[in-house]
Amino acid sequence: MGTNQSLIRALRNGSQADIARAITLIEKNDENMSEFLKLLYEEDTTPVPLIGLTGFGGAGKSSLVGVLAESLLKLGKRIGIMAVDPTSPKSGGALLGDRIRLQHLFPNENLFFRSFANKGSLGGLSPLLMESVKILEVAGFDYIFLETVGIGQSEVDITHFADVVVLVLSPGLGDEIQFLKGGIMEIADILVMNKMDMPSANVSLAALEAYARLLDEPPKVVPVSAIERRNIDVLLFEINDCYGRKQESHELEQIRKQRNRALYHSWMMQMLEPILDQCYSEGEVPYIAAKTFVDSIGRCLNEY
Amino acid sequence: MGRKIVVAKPGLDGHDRQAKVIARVLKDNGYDVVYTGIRQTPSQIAQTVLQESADVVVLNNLSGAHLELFPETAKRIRELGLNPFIIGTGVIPPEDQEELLKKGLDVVFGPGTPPQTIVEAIKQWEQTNP
Ligand SMILES: Nc1nc2c(ncn2[C@@H]2O[C@H](COP(=O)(O)OP(=O)(O)OP(=O)(O)O)[C@@H](O)[C@H]2O)c(=O)[nH]1
Ligand SMILES: [Mg+2]
Repeated sequence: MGTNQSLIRALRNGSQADIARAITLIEKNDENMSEFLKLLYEEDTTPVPLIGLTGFGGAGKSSLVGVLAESLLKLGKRIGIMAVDPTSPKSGGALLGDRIRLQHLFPNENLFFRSFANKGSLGGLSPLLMESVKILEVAGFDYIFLETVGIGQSEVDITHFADVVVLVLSPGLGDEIQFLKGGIMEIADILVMNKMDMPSANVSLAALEAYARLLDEPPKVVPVSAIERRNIDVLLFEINDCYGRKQESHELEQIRKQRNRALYHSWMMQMLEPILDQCYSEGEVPYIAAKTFVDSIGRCLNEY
Repeated sequence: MGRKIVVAKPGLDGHDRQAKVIARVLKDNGYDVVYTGIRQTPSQIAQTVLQESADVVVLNNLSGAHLELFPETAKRIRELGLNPFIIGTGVIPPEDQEELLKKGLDVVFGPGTPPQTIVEAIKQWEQTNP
């Protein structure tokens, strides 16, 4: 009991060592975790903007987060960054290389960066990521950035539950933009064309703008260059502006409610995973086995 | 529970081929590997180890500055109250290996060490640190 309480107290003071410790506690599914989470959710926190950045590998998401963080740090803001990379299905290991792009900003007491391996849990969105957001909120950060290579598996990608969703593209995508049309393009608040320093980037930008205009609610298109730090202030303005509008229209409340529901789902899936396998044996009709299991839960719920 | 490893390059040498090979082999052995990139200072590495809650740190330096940089990095890490398994790699002659072991490193490997040897050292450490 005592240790959890002192951990929460240290979090309130924004201690980096304790932020890391708290995230690890959830990562390792520590025996103290459930009490810790209960205490964590008793904390009064002012909502912190959660900015999701997603896009193809190599589009420049990490570089962009780096320059955004750099600008905000200069304004005296405290920045939390979470970056997710895929786990190799073969070895179960992961190469987490996003830090490389912003290591030059360290050492820094106002910048916290954590890399995550996407273990591909059954519920999709990993509870660890969402609880880490909560931890960073309690620790009093001013902005939280979340980087994912999240194109494709739309509904389960945590980026879709961010307050502001930024899709990062780079020149030369051509057909791929079209391929994206159905999914993330529609939920992105801001479309960024990065690497505008590259030759012929204008052609890709024009194509992106043309696509954006076709959408029901055309998102803002912002051309930038992370390397040359071009237009970063404009992107920052658009992010803040989008957040402000969603706050006024109470859309943020909706997003946070959905986020909690999604988190509940993903915890549930994680907890069910080990039992699910126990309730199926070879030779059973898959549908019948599943239905029998779910019906029995239904009966328990009625009595409950 | 996959262990987390930080692979870091302290110092000014810009050759990261070896560090990248180590990172990849560790990944292929099921570890979550955070790679910092080149030209890291000891305090940058220490803060990385803290933020990532790393269990293991692999330092790699090819410039010959390991005698200053490795102990300094290990010291910074331990000053933060952390106690990861710290491995030194690079162009380290045998006499320097002895000295580094006295100055805060847990294992040191010289030139030509196959990455798999590093994996074995980590696996051995894991057995005594569940
Ligand atoms: N020319 C140019 N290159 C850039 C720019 N931004 C990033 N890059 C380069 O693009 C490559 C990928 O950059 P990252 O920031 O790692 O991209 P990412 O989207 O985070 O990549 P993943 O995390 O692997 O998906 C690196 O070589 C960067 O130097 C830019 O504005 N212009
Ligand atoms: Mg990245």
